Amino acid sequence: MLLPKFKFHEPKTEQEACQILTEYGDKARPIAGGTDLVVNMKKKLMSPEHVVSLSRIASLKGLQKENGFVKIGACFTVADMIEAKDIRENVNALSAGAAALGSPLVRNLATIGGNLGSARPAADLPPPLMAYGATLILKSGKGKRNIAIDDFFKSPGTTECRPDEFIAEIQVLTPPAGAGAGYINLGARKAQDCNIVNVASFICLNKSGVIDTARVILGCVGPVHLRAPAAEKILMGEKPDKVLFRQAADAAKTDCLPITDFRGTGEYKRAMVGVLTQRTLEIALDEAKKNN
Amino acid sequence: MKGNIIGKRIPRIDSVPKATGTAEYTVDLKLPGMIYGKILRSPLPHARIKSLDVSAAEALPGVCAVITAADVPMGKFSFFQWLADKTIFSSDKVRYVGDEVAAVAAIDADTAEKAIELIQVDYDPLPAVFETEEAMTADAPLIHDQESNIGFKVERHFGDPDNAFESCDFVVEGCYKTDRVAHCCLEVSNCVASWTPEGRLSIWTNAQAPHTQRQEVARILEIPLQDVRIINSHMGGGFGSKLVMDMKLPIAAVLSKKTGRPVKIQNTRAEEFSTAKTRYGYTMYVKTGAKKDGTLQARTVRVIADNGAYHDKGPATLNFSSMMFATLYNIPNIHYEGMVVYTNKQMSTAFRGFGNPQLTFACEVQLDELAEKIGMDPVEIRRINANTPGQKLQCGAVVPTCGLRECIEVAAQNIAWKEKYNRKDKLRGVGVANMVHTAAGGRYYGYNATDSFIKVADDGTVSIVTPGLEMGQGVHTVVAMIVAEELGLDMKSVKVLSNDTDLTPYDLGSWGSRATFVVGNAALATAREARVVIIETAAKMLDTKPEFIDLENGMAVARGPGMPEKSVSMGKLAAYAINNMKAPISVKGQWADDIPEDWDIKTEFVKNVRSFAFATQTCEVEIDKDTGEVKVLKFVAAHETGTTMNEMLAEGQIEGAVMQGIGFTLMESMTLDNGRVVNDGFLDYKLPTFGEQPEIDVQLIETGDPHGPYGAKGIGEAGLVPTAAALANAIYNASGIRVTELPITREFMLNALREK
Amino acid sequence: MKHEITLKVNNDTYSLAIDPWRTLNDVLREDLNLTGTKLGCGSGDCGACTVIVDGRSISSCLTLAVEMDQKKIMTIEGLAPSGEELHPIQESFVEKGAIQCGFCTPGMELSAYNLLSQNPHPSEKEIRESLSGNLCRCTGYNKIVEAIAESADKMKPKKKKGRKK
Repeated sequence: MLLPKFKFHEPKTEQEACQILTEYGDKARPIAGGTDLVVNMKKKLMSPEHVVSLSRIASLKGLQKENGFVKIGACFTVADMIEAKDIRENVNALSAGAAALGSPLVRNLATIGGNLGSARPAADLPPPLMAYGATLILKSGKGKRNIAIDDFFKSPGTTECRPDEFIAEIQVLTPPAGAGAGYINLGARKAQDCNIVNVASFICLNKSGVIDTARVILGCVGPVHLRAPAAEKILMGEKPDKVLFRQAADAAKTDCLPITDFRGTGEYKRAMVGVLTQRTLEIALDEAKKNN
Repeated sequence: MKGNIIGKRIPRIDSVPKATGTAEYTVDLKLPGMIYGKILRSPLPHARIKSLDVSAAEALPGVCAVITAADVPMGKFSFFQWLADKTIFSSDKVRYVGDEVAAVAAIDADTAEKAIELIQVDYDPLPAVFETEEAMTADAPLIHDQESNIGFKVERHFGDPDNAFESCDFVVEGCYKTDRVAHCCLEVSNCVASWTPEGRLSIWTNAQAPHTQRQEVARILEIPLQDVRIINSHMGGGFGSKLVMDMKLPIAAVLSKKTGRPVKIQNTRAEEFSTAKTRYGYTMYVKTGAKKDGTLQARTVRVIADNGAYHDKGPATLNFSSMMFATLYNIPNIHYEGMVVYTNKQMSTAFRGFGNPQLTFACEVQLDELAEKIGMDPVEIRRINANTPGQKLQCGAVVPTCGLRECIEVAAQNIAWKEKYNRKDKLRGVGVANMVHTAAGGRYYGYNATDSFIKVADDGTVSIVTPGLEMGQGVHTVVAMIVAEELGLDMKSVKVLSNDTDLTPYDLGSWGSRATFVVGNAALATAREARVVIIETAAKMLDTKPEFIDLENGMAVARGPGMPEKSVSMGKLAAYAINNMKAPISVKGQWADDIPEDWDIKTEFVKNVRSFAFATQTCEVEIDKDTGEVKVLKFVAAHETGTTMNEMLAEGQIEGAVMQGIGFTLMESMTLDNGRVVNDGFLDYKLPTFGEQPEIDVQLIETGDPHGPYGAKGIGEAGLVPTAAALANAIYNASGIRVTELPITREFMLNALREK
Repeated sequence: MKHEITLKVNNDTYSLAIDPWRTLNDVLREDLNLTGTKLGCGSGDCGACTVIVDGRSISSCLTLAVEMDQKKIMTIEGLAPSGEELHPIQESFVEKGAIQCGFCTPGMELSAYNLLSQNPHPSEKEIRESLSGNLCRCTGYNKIVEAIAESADKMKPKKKKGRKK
């Protein structure tokens, strides 16, 4: 397993990165932690002529809490996400997603931007970020644009990010009082695994204890991470309890399109969508009650 | 036994180099002028080769040689030469995804990889067959030029099972299946071959049986045995995968001959998963009958083993599992029928347990079914059928020592069997399984013996030359402990020299739990020989009689009635022998298994084993009703060791084997797509990680063995033999779901729970 | 085009000109002959190639060497403090029987080092979670967990004296 040959660029600033990506377009590929890209290149699934490292750009590595947002630089590592108090205290399901990703060896390299940019349907960070309704900041020589994470993923391995763009930042609105979220992934092992199914759920309770926002995100059961509209519809406007969550879980099973592969049959994945939806909703409710 | 050294928790002698990263493995080796080889493998499971064009590869700058079937001896080869069916390269057709077609050597690995891609092969695909029972049908495609795909058959029979079943009160029948699993040595298979101008071939490789592999290399290359030398280094795992020569050895050798340079060939991990051979998958039709008091009366089995595309250790695996099948309990009527069947898959080979884990899974799960029918506790049926010391079994085997009853007691007690069995709450349950395994390898070769040599240097160091093959199990440490014990030395004063067929006496290698027994016995004989010479020398030097001399703390000490205590160090003593006696201390010792001369493997097949070791494992599991996950909460592994040579190493062998057993039972499986291994990496081939390993309570039962060194029995393989059955039986106890096929996936469990 | 980089490995500084498609693992093993760092899979799934970069454990098979310019790298060869044969982690691996074939050992020890440098008193669960990227096929892991727990005890300042026998 040797890497194909390529030219390497290591910009020090965002502006320099923009120039390089503009020049080489779809012949270039940004690299951050490399845990996905290097494996894909070794397997000859990708052979970019130019690899552009974003690791020396200091401005992509920050984490701030600002104007009600948690703002995470694209090159912030997954290991740092687990330790970050701002993430744990404000968007805990994202911490759970980070802790579920691979192993410490992977997490020490992998970045939040890379986990989104590689657009793997089994990735751990998209479900919690979608549950919180995160926004991605994309930058290029033409300037920057914001894109809702729900609109970001297009198919396995492809996203809204144009070849001349890179992900600069991820912004997550701090959930209001009465909100809670949960994330669970299921693999064949406790760690170091590729998920069979992963689910994140978010609910927000109004003052009378009724769910006024609900987002359920399903991973591994479609070409991209899916919202579960039928499940969300069942939750909206209702008071949460086990029976309601069971109904939402059953509905979530109809919201997905799992395929049968060597990791599991479509039938099993569908069943696990139900189990994880129920369990993540219970976590979300616990948290929502605490946040009230 | 507790000696000064034997029986103690002594750290491995190779652990400091391994802990500091200085231990050199074959894969770390670089020789001057070395170039890099790469093998072109078949992408199809079954196809005719229409044409082969290597010209583009040859023209690539940096390529030193390209070889195909036209460049190598094309005699057929197999581990059992009477079953020879494989050539170095395929010339007419390929039989599995991974079959060797051509190879290159280049100045670096990049160029070699590029050159392989430039070789043009035109294939004509043939229908392929992947399942054994399908391969046995009349219209199945034939993989070799034979009448059927059945490659080898063996039958063992005694008593009259048909009649016996008639008179049984209870009979159960079933079909059980185990999957092909990979050894997953962390160090991939690799070698460096150097064919020097004077005509001598040296191969550095990770081989579990270097002397037999040396013969295999000479045989396949059609060169004199004396021209071949195999050199081992530290070895990153074996588990049976490195017993038989891999084709990369002769390929690297021919590339080296052609280029005049050392050639290294190393698998990628994906190549390792697709071509490095697997455990034989077994399909087993088993029938067992008992009286209503639980005594077993008859048992029959038909084993269909998945050979893969070529022969390897199939006959040995089938023979061995037949022996254990007949020896675990004293059943008077037995029929065993086994066969290996060709399929268009990578070859199977030995894997820790030689077919015994597969058949023990089937038999011990069926024993629980039988116990249930009778209305008997699973522990009880095992207790009443357990063999006892000194027993002569109906099949002809004798078990001079047998700790099975003690194993059952302690395993049941430590899992709290009485409180936990049939508790029927929370999908939690306990399971039990017994096993018997060889404690001393096998006698298949008609020969089971080896030598070693000891020399004492004038610095006090004692060196032993041993063929004991260290693959991580600890045999070099055990050999050093034996020498230190016998000669009154500390561990630091003993050096173990090994790893080179030019240096070491002939030996059959590390497999079948034989190394401590066979190599250890030879080391013991040699050390005792050395002890005599050392004491005689000391007696001369100290002017006393040998019977007054003892060896302790690196000294020869004379103590006798009415004489002052005198002593001399080992170093001074060695110097005295060299300088004054003109007789440097160096001795040879040997151990030879007394194989009966009139022994016939067909009629007295159980005598293939010199010594038996018994064990019981119990475990507790909990099942997640929503996901089907089986959580292993605890294992108790009670194993008969004869004498425990080194508690820490023995525990390590059993803990590691139980983990491999858990993988085999719950997680590991080769997934194929038209013969191609899909899960060819550690992400998707699921090895247990830290999180999957439960607490393991290892209990070592010392029963002594009349033939083992200090009474020791081999325990390297035993640890995973009963693991699958114990887990499957615990799952039944927890859920009422009877498992007959491995691995037990979550999906299977979930569906079964829902059907209930 | 080759890139000129400076690697600070253990206590040595190396100036190298390397192709950008070389991994750190490849450069350590082939160019610097630091073969204590193993290669088990090449895809970041086994942990045999673990090294410490700027205080964090990573898979050297997934890391481009060119990105390591000026970074501080510790391999297994640099684990023991100078003047001592073994680091307490190595000592415990030896004494507790946590080593069999040894091929996973350097990576295991460096993952343990990464854990103990961030969390000097880990629970058994934390040890298991932190080492979850390191596969071992021989030992069954439990003796490795024991060794790491013991080395954590040894590395507590007050017990440091007792370590030297």
